Amino acid sequence: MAQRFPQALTCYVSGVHSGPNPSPGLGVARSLRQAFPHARLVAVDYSVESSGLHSEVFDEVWVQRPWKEMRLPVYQAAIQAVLDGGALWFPGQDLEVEWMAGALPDPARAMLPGLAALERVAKPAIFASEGLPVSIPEWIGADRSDWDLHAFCREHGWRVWLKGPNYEAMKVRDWPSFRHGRDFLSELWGTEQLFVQRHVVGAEESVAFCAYRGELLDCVHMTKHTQTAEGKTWAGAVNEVEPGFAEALRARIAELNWTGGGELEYVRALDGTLHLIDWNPRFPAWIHAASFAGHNLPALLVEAAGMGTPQPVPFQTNQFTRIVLEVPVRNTHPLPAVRQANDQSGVGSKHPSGMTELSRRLRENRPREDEPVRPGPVVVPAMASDLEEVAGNGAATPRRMFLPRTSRERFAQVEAVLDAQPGGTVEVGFGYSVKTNPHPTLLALADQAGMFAEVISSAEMRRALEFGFPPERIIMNGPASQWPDGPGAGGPLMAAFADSPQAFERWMCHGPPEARYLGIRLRPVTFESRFGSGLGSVERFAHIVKLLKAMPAEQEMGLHFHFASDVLGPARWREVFEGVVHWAAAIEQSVGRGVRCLDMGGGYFPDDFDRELLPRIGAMTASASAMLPELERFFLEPGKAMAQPSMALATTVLEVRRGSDGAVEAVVDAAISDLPMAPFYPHRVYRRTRQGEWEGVGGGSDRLVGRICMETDILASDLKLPEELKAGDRLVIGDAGAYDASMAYNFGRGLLEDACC
Amino acid sequence: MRAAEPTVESAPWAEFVPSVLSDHGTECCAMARAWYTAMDRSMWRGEGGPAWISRKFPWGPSKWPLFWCEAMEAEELDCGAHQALSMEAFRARGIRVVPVQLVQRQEVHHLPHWHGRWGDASASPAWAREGVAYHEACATLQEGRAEVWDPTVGAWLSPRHLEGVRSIAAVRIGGATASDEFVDWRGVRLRMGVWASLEAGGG
Ligand SMILES: [Zn+2]
Repeated sequence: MAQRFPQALTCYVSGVHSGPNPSPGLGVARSLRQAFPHARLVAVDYSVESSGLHSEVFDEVWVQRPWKEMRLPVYQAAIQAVLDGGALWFPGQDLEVEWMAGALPDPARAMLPGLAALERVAKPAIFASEGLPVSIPEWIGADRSDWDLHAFCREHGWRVWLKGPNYEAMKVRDWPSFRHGRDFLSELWGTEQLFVQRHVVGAEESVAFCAYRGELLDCVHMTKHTQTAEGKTWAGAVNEVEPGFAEALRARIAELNWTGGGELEYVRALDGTLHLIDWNPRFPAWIHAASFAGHNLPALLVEAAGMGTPQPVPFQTNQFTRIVLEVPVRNTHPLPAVRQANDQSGVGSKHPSGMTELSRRLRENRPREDEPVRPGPVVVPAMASDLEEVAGNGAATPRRMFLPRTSRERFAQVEAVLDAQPGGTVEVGFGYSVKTNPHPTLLALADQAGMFAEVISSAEMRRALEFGFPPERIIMNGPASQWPDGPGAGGPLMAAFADSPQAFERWMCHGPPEARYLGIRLRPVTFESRFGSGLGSVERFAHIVKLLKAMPAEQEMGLHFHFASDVLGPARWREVFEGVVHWAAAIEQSVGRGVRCLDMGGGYFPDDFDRELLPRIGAMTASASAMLPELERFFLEPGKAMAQPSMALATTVLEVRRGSDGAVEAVVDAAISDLPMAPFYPHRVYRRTRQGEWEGVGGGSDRLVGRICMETDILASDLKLPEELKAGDRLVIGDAGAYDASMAYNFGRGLLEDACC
Repeated sequence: MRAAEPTVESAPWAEFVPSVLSDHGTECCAMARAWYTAMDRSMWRGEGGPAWISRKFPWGPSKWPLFWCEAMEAEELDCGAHQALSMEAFRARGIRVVPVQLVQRQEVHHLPHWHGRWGDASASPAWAREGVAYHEACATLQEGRAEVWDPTVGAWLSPRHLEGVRSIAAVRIGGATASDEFVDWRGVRLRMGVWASLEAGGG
């Protein structure tokens, strides 16, 4: 056979695992084989479990020791020898690229970018994307305070990702899953390298390219059509890159002086905007699909490096899919023996690339600082004086303390809105949710501020009456609003809402509670809730309409909707609010009676209530009354926004356990029974310094554990406890005034529930 | 086996007019429309297309004329009903939208399944022929440009889909009345209200 090329072409292709989360090596090799049928292709990987080693596309395999145990200088010298021998190297792993870029003094034949370029494409900022028609989705470093991180997640409706610097992303749904993800990923990457990024809804696309010494050789666009459960491509379509995008990319590649393959992964949002998620310094695993579409990118690199002219690539099709194939295992590299299963871990579940091990080794080489401290809470003036007044004395602990100035500030805000009445002709009111915290002082503050009492039982109603709320300042709702039997309100309530069509039907048969506005609680249609009347079918809707029509003609109609804002985040809550207004309009139209009162809750995180809700009340009322012309009253139920910051829990350190590895655990005399919401949102912790000032305790990985014998009795697992903390010291846990107070329970005190006999 | 290349003329579809939901003019339909409007406002934020409709009412036989009250209580709806509902959703947001009629290539052997399923539901199977089917969609119009939303699939269609199953043999944008207005659908210039065959390289 005639020798086609002046010298034999040898290509080392690394990262060849082929599975649901494949590395690019196999695709790169298939494209090289297509363009250079006589090339010598050598598969490189770091585990015998890398399945692509057995593909017949490779002439040879070169399996390395795993990254964890490899002598890096030995491997570095071996690669250098291969390159010096005239071979090309196509790297297939992000961190391998990073290591090679740093380790090889003259990587001329290695198809990888330089360290400076890698820094410019590092997540999350991806500085190199400037000038491209993409934006970077909002993100926040995980080294920020828990308070800020929680706020970021709420702001983005808990549709966020917790990500490591190279790969590995975990979807976060709530604070417990965030904390779990942070523990897991910071073990891998270190907290200072993690970040939280908002999720963008849209189609996943990417642009793959190849460049040599700053010259963009070619690029292709890929749209994912189907993907695996992990979000990896399974089928897609390859097309030309939009000209504007390609030109901008050409300029960036020149600036970066890029060599090698690369991939930009982004999301095309429903509004058409592009949001860059990743800039990978290697080819994507689907790269051979580009060759079907007439773009053999790996071959262009060979050509640019002066190693041969590729055979022309015929256009076959622009769509591709993956299939699963069995291939014979190479005799030279038999499978490892079947490992005995044990109950600690599954077998074969780990990705064979060994990237986590390489990550640890690369981090070993960097200067290791002490565990970074995430900032603690700022002690605002009202809190400082509250702490001084109520926590400064030596009273026994654990003790829940009312914070007078902090509380007064919260209720004063509500009072100011009531004075301003931003609803114009629609009277705005606020309901204080009695269940959140029925403490007399808070009820009195709510009363003085002009709030209504929102009650979910007759028992709560009677407590509100007892504390001076007249019946006309009481709003009733809940699945058992008339439980338990007992004296009535003694006058018409402001409003009463049935939790179900059945409850409303009972009211119509046996007499409803006497109330100015009577109506029903609506169940959300876009997410699960056990409360309210479902609207998911015309039949259900018609039933509700029929019931409301049956009300006496003179009875005024109201509607109630409640879903915790901190679960959805305030932006999604506002979307739900808009939907509710449309439902109210549909009901109004179908019943033939105006909606006079709208009561919306609730569960606001205090900061969201202050920053997101209060300034928008005027606009919300306006949009509601535009749809509901007879609307006269608009109630908002701030829920825990009023009570949560109003109390703190003082506790005393019983024992400090300092491990030889630096781990710190402090046992305190409070327990999860005193702070049942501890896992569900960040609680700010304060302590008094030696100088007598109050300061916030920062974040780290130290734990605060409670006094009782329950595995779950962990009050915090993400604090940086002060060096000088010792038994007898006092800590104050803030934000403990809402369900932490009302849902606290007796445990480990030798007490039984009073009702038990 | 491959059927002959379908044309509009080879089937009665040239005469088909885009589907429209009927209204009894009584409370039943008023309530159904009120429910639909509120549901759409909760389910669709107005970006992209109203993909929720075919998830709520998967594709299946509908009997025509179809009234609002029947449609909203149906387990399944055909593409004509999907089209009518999607038009309503776009319109409610102030977006100019017109009906789209398509002739698409299909698998020859699917025909008896469709005829059987539609027949069992006492619905007309006239939309399906051997290797070809009539389909309805809608197009949003902005500054002379059309984007075609397939409400049954929940996706935007491309006029470059010219080969294989579901490829587009013919299209009419804007209903049954020929107009002097032209629209551009991703580079393909089409006269509103007039059937056009799509061919590779044409347009
Ligand atoms: Zn009807």
